[in-house]
Amino acid sequence: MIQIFRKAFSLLERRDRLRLGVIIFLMFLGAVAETIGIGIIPSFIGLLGNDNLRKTLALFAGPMS
Amino acid sequence: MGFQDYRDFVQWFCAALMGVYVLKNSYLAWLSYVQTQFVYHQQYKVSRRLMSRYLRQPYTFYLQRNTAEILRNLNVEVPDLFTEVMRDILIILTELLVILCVSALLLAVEPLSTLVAVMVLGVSSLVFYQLVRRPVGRWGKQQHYHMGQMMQWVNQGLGSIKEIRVLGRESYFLQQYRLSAAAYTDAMQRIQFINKLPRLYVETVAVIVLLLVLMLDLTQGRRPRSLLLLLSLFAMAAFRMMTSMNRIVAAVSTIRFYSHALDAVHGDLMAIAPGNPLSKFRPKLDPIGPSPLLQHSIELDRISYTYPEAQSPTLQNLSFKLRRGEAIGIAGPSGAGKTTLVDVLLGLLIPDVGEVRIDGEPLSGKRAEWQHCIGYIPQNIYLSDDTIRRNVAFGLADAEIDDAQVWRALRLAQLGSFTELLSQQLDTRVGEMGVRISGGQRQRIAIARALYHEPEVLVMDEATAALDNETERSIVQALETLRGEKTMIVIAHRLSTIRNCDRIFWMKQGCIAATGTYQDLWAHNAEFRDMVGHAD
Repeated sequence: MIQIFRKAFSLLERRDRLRLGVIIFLMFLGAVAETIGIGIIPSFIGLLGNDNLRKTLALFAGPMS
Repeated sequence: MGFQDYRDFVQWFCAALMGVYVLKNSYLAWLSYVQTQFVYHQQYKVSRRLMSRYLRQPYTFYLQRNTAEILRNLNVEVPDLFTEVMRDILIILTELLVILCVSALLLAVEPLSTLVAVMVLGVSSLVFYQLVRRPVGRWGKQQHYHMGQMMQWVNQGLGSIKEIRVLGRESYFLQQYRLSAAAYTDAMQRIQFINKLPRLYVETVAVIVLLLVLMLDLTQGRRPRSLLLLLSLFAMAAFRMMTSMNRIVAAVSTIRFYSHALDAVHGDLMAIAPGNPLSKFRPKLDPIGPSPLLQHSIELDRISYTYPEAQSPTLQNLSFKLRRGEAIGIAGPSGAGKTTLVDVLLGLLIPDVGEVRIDGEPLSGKRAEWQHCIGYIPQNIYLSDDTIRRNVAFGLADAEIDDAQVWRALRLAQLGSFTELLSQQLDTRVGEMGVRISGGQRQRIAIARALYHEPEVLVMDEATAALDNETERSIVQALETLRGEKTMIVIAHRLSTIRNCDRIFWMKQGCIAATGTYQDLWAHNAEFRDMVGHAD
């Protein structure tokens, strides 16, 4: 498989290899974004069920309401 | 933050979550566009480079390679390489990065369960890959080979339809095509099935992993609420990683299946190196007008040539000198090396021994300029399915075509009055391989094509063989008017075509066996006399 990868990249010209490097970096940012997307929903669920947060917010909101 | 109450907080958080997802997916959509653009741009560039290499090969390359193979490499393998191999390599990289980032998140939250999950997923994917690796590679080669065979049978079947119809050999060609098509579709069917397996396999493994994590956490005595949160995180991660694993496993098998496309394209791009002396870009030359290259003579000095993989030489120690404006005829039995000699003179074949000199200078340094001053008329002309104008001014853009020059060439080739009578004249289409015109007219288009550039040297390789006697006579007369003005090298079986040449070389087994005028050879060479007797 590594050989296939090498062979495929050897078809690219130098400038295109650099472009590919930039695209791989963008792909890494995409993977981070995906991970945030995965992590954020359970965190939200966790926050919803968090009694301490509910109490804290009620404490701040109380005098205003 | 100014939240009024808990509900307010939840609403704000929901809005923020929506924003995050819209941003994330917009970014991923843009990234997908960038990746697709990159892949297709590379496809365009590689196919252009490959076509350029194919067009600039030494002549022996075309003698050794099958056209169907070249056609398949350009039109099937290059698209397969990029839409299947290159795109899937990017998919693997993308999904590996996703797995890496998601695993990092899970490791931070729950190290032990994550390690177990990653190990189980990794090992099971590796097992799947090892199981399908060899058969997928084998099917890929099968598909590649039989695709080439299918193209070859289509080319051969449709290219010689007249003979096939007359001989009644349709069933043979159909049977050969059918065998290749069956083997091709068999390979495709198997790979399509294998491509559907990863989803089911990975889904099964992912559910097992998720339940393993649950069991592991239960044995560690976790509280149900935290377990629920952990499970929701793992479920989300498993869902995404399942997609990633699925895509990776499918991409790996696709890449193996299409790796022959990579081998074929990479092989030709690397093997046909641009450093080859005949593959250099040609200088931009004036489309019309003689080259001043030939001033005095063309000289062949002790030329020998052996075709690749041939046992014996086709040309042996051949020497002669040809003055500017001279007309020579080359005659001899089949296999004597006449066409090879012309190919050496055209600069298409490089002699193994000896040298071709133009005005005393070796041909090797100015091959392109030399070829530009030659008008070559082959025995079988290739006519494109296009107009007479474009077929005569072959390979020139419309803006570069000089109509007056086209008419002049057509008149010299005895095709002027025929074209004038056509309702669309120069815009008349000749059909694929010139099927809408007669054999004689096709050959005269070949002559017009050679004359269009006003070449210094005219090379005719059995150019009048397909013409009737009367047309041949009128063309010979037309060419006679160019005597002294153009240097002419004429190969002919029909010896009436070379009767008026200044000298005739009688070739036998790659050597010049006799030289002289028609009358000299007739008087002193029994084999020549014998051939004249047969031909005329």
